[in-house]
Parts: sequence; structure tokens; C-alpha cells
Amino acid sequence: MSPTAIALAIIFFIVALGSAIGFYAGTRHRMSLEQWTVGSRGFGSLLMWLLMAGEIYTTFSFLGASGWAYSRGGPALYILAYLPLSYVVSFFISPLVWELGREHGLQTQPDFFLVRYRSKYLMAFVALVGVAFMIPYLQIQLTGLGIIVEVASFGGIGRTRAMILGVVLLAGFVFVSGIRAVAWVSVLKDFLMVFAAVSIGIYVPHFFFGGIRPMFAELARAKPAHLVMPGATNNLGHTWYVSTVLLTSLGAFMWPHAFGATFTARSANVLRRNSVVMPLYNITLAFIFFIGFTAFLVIPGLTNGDLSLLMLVRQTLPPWMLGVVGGAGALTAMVPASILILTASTLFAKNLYRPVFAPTMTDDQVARLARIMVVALSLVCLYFAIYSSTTLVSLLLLGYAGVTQFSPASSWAFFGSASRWSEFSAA
Amino acid sequence: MVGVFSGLIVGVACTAFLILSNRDPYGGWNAGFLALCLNSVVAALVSLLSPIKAGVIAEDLSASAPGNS
Repeated sequence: MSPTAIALAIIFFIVALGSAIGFYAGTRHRMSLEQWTVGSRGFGSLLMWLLMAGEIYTTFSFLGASGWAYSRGGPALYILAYLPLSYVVSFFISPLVWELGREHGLQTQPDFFLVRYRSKYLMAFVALVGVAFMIPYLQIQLTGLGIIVEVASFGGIGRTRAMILGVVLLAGFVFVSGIRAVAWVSVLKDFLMVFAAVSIGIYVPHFFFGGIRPMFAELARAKPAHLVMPGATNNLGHTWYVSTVLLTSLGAFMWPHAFGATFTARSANVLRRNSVVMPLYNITLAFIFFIGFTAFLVIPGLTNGDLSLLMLVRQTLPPWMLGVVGGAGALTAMVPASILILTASTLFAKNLYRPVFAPTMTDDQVARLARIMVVALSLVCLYFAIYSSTTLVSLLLLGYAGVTQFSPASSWAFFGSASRWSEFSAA
Repeated sequence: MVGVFSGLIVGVACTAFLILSNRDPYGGWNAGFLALCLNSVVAALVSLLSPIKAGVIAEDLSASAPGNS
């Protein structure tokens, strides 16, 4: 078998295995709108952890983070800083959101705005902005998927064709499965991603430089400016770093899918516990950075830094390992993409279309419209993914800048009544 | 409500303008962060200036609450 065939076969095997887990988990429950979006509010600590890890650690962390370490240097370190900080925000806010959600049967972020501010136009606007800024985030996942198949097939399967294939698979998956299935696929995805990141992150610097420390020593000797602000850029200095970390740590929980995931939890304590444990996952990102910095020294001159991780793997490791890494990467794109599509289409049908244009729709009709939107939104994202050439990190920053605008309204929602605060801080 | 709604509109408009016109970062700052600051200021000012309607809290939440099927 040729290296291409081995790598591609392993990727497709992993994707098929992930989809099978999803289909199995999904078909065991009857899919009402509530089951589809919030899984009957019965997620305990384990499923909740899987869901949150599933949606926060995306192909952005995998290819995007190593890509920026490669192409930008110092400024990429913002990625290490903001995720742990964002859990400080969610530790305090998510239990409050959950409580309100249980009281009023909320399923989505705009539902929350309706109940708290009692304006269906505010709700519809929040839904519109949410959907609009989730598109770049979805685009990241599709582009990532395209890059993986392109590199793993040694250019044999073009990026566009790979992305079309990815979209078909994704839409089909979301169509039948719902949020619970996605959380279970996350088991395989997280296991593979941590395995791939840690093993390559340790192996590759050892292979070329004899260790992680010698790799950094060589980097500091060859290109000291790459490790500090503004790295290889000319406008991403310390002010940018601090303001970006602040923005993104306030914004991480404002993503409609992250906010909505709150409503799947069984209790407020499940959410608190998760906020405490989740930052540990961030350790994996350090290994991704080791890979990006090694690639900077070993394979300089790539026009697209997002390719660096896979190119390095392709050059130094056997084809089966490229397949495992590619498969991990593909699931890392598909799991969050499913959650994003599911959330965006529910937002459109339930919080934008029904209240503004068709107030008489039943929940079943909304669920049907949401499924149609799965297909429509996938196609929109596919269009953007094919015709735009922005880096993965820039896309994510665009999305973050948009959704973080919900932050003042969401936090102030709880300052109105002092009794609520004392009640929860005592709990 | 009017306050946070105005803040949100200003914030989103500012984000869209700065980023789509390639002004990110703006003066060394993350454009989204600047928009967030403006958003908060507008929301606070409008909230303070608009009159408080008593009894609004007690309005029929149950009737407008979504997902109560």
C-alpha cells in the first residue's frame, strides 16, 4: 500500500468509527426539539465534561495554534492564557444561567435574553448576531478538515473536494443525531487528540534537537525575536495581547453553543465542577506549541502556517501515524462543527424565524425548519471556506469579537436583583 | 432592556466596521475589545438615562417563556 492509501484509510476508519458512535448514541432517544438541543437536561459531570471539551477544543487548537506558533510566534501565546481565564467567568455565570434555564425551560442563549429582558426583538437580534459570528467558527472547522485530507493524501484529494465531502458527512450526522450523540463522539476525539498532541509534541523536538529545552535554545539562538511580542508580526504587541486575552476570556462563554450547553447540565454543581477541571485540558496546548515552534526551525517557508503541524508529521513519522493524527484532527473538526451547526440552526428557527415571521409555528415545525437550516448553513459555510483564504486564528478572533458583545448584557442580567446573588453565592 | 440593546447594536456595528475595514488591531488594541468597551459605556449610559418602569418585573414571564410546550 502506498503511504497515501495507508494514511487516508486510517483517517476514514477513525471518522467512520466516530460517526458510528454518534449514530448509536443518537438513535436511542426519540428526537423532540428539546432532546435534540439540550438532551433532556440530564447531563452529569462526565457527559458535560465531554460536551464542553468537545466544543471548546476544536481544529483551531490543533492546526490553528501550531499555525500561529509557526507563522506569528509570541502573539500565539494568547491562546494559552485565555482559556483558563474564561473558566473563571463561566464558574460564576454558568450556574446562574442554568438556574434561570431550569425555571423557564430555556434551550438557547436568545431564550435567556427573552426571559431576562422581555423583548422578542432583542432575542431575534441576539440570534441573528450569534448565527452570523458562528459562521467564521464553522468555516475554521471546514477549512481544517480540508487541510487534513489534502496533506494526508499528499495533494491527491484537493481541499475543495475534501470540504464538500466533509459537509455532506456533517450535515447527515447532525440531521439524525442531536447533542447527546455529539457528546459521545467526543470520547474518541479527545482521546485521540490528547494522544496525538502529547506524543508528537514530545517526539518531534527530540527527533530533531534531542529534547524540548534544546529546541527552545536553538530557537532563541536562531530567531530570538520569534518568541517575544510582536513575534513575526509588526502590530501585535503587548497592548494587543492583553486586550485580546481579556476579550476572548470574557467571550468564550458567550458563544451561543457554549452558553446553550449550560442547559444540558443536570445541576449547577456539575457546571461549577467542570469549570474547575476544564483548564487542565489546556496543558495539551503546550505540546501543540512545541510542534509549531519545531516546525518553524525545521520546515521554514510554508506560505500557510496552518499546514505546519501536518507537514512536520508527514516528513518525520510513518504514514500510519499521519493517518492517526489526521483522523484525530478530522474528528476535532467534526465534533465542534456539529455542535455549531446544531446550535446555529436552532437559533435561526426558534429564536429568529418563529418569533418575527411565524409566531404560530409549533415546536415540531420549528424542529423541522431547524433541520432544513442544518443543510442551508452548511452550504453557506462551505461557500466561505472555499472562497476565502484567512488564517484559522484570524477567523476565530473575528467570531470572538462578535459574540463577546453579548457579555455586558449577559453579566448585567444578574446584577438586577441582589437576592439572586446572595442566594447563589450561598449555594 | 433599551440600554443593553443599544449597547449590543453599537458593539456589533463597531466590531463589524473595524474588522471588515481591516482596522484590527486598532491603535495596538484588539478591535473587538474596543467595541466591547464602547458597548458597555453605551449600555450603561442609556440604562441610566432611560426611566425605570415599576412593576415590569412582574409581567407575565410564563406567557412569553419559550420552550414551554
